Amino acid sequence: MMTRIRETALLLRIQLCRLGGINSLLHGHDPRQKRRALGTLALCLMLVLMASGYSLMLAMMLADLGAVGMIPQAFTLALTALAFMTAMFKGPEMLFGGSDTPALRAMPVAPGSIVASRLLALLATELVFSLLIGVPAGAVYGLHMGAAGGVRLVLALCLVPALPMAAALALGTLLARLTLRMRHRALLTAVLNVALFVAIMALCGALTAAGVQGRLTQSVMLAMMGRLDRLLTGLYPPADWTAQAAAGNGGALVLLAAVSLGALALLTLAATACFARLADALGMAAPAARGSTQTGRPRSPLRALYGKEVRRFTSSSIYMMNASAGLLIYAMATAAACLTDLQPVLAPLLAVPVVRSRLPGLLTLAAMLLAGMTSTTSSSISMEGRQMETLHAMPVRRRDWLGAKLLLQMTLSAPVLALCGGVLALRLGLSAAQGAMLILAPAAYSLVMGIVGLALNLRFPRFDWEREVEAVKNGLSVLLTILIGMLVPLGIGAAWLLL
Amino acid sequence: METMLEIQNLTKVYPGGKRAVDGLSLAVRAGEIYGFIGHNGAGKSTTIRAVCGVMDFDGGSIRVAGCDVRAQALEAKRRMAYLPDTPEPYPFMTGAQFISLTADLYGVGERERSARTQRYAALFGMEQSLGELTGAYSHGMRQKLMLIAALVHQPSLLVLDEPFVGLDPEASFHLKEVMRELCAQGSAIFFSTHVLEVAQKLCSRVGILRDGRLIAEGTPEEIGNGRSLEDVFMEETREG
Repeated sequence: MMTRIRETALLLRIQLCRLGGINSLLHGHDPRQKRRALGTLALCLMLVLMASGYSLMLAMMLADLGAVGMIPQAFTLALTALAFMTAMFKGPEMLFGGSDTPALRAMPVAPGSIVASRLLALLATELVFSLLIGVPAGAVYGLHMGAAGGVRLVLALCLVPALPMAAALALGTLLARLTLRMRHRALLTAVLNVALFVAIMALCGALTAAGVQGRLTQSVMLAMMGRLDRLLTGLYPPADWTAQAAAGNGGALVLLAAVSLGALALLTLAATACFARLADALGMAAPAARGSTQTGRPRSPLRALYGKEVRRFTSSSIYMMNASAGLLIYAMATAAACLTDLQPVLAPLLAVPVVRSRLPGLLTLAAMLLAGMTSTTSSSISMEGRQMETLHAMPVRRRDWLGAKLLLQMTLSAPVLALCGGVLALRLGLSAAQGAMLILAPAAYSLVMGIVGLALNLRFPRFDWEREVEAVKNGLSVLLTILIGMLVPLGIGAAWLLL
Repeated sequence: METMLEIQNLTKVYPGGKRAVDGLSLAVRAGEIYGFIGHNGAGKSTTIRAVCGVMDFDGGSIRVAGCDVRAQALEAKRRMAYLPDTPEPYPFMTGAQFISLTADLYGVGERERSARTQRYAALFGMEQSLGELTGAYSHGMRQKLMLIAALVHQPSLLVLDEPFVGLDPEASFHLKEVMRELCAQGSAIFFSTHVLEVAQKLCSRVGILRDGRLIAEGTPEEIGNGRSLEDVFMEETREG
């Protein structure tokens, strides 16, 4: 038992050293690499401050509305969604994959220790998020309900991520197990993940719609939140346990801890049992159909490189999911706008004169924001990974190489932006000029952000990744591109409304 | 005879101050097989990567078939092919797709690419594997695929970093044959190896590198002067 604990601790230390390039920062000799690691840390710190600030604002808003009692449920749900999505993105690759897996399996290390160390590393990052989001919420809650209540809430919120994390990883592992022997495994996994994402978003949308009935006065908001509270408690009991734990019910805290840690323990046991089989399967290429052994017809370098980019994109479910989230939300919002009665949603907005007169413009900015969230280019250079040297040795013009990457981004975004913009313009009865703006401005913005993503990824590439998720989600260029992509339309919108 | 590779005063200093290559000069002429030997960390791979334009350098110049690798990078790359010590084709492509991509980037016509692929795939026993994803390949298969891709445009200069590592004896034999054949057609080959017997038998000329400097150069016979290349190498290394 002690050996297992020591093994797990050692492996966990290795996992944690890789986070944010800490080890490179401590032991690397390349000043550029150190600067990059410092830049990543600085950006993470900025995001941390933003997350904490946003959390504080949300808690204060609930308190101002007289709904302090809803803070535990609201933050439980926020952390649940965050932990679920993060674990879903990391997927079974995080548990069973990675280039270090064969080396670890060759060592006298129990599979259970490998699985436990990886789960604990993910849990550690989730705990950081819990504290970032939970401490401001706990402070506001504590101000109104007593300091002890605040501390109890933070403690309970720290337990929240384990259950959704275990559920997402179990679901991901199940999907991986089902699709292992299937052709186009990555594409299928991405489709299933998208379906899950759509279901979660639809549920959130339905919950919000259930609450919105008329103008957003304080009493209506309170009534709406009361309805949401009952809905959420019914749908997700841990939200209620957190609330009870924060209110001083020790039994609820024990129940929450038991369920959370029990779920993790069950996942560890199950993942350990199927570790060898899944690690073998994930370590191998997908059992794809045998393609032609013949070389194709000659193409221009741009077309050849574009073909490579499309193959790269469709070979990775994480890449597909990450780069399509904004477009998916836009498509879902458009579908919802077509299928539901817009009057209750638009009425409170149209009641505000400054919003009413600028609604088409604000809609365009919202579409730009979603287009800004969609970036294949910000990680496309990092995704070259170890193959970068192979490509570098070939006679490839930079404009062809980068142009192919930009072309992929526009192939994905332009049709969706055009279709959704056109449909929304018709649905909302916008003028031709407003409709054209709703299509062209987001498309142009997507192009600009594609170029920004490329420039940032050229400046901050990351080729030493072990798992695709490290290049797709954790790269400095990805974080910066999404941040810029979202802040610009938000800034323009805020300035337009306030000035 | 045309000089296919000309390196003059090449210097590469890594961040942290390590001088990996220090004023290296050498030339490889058409029809020559030049073997580059040296202990681990001597600067062989750094030199090779600088020649192929994969890594920038701090001083000196490199010309491939008369083209400066910095000023005329694309022209220089079109004239050469590179097989790295760790072959890394795109794992999400089949072997045939990877060769097609390479052929497209080098502008090889349909008939030539098909004929050369068939020939070299048969030679290296890869005909049946070209339809599979390269992610499923073994190290040796990736090595063979990269070789086929390197030969598909019949380069004037073939640069190989440890090409025999991971190859089975039959493939090694065929690779040596292909190297000789390519040189007989007027190309040149510049390769690094730790297998001194291969260098002794295969190379027209050999250069021994120590701490980033060329300490001996000539035909294996000239360098050995009656001794084996292994004896000379061990002696030079001990002196270092």
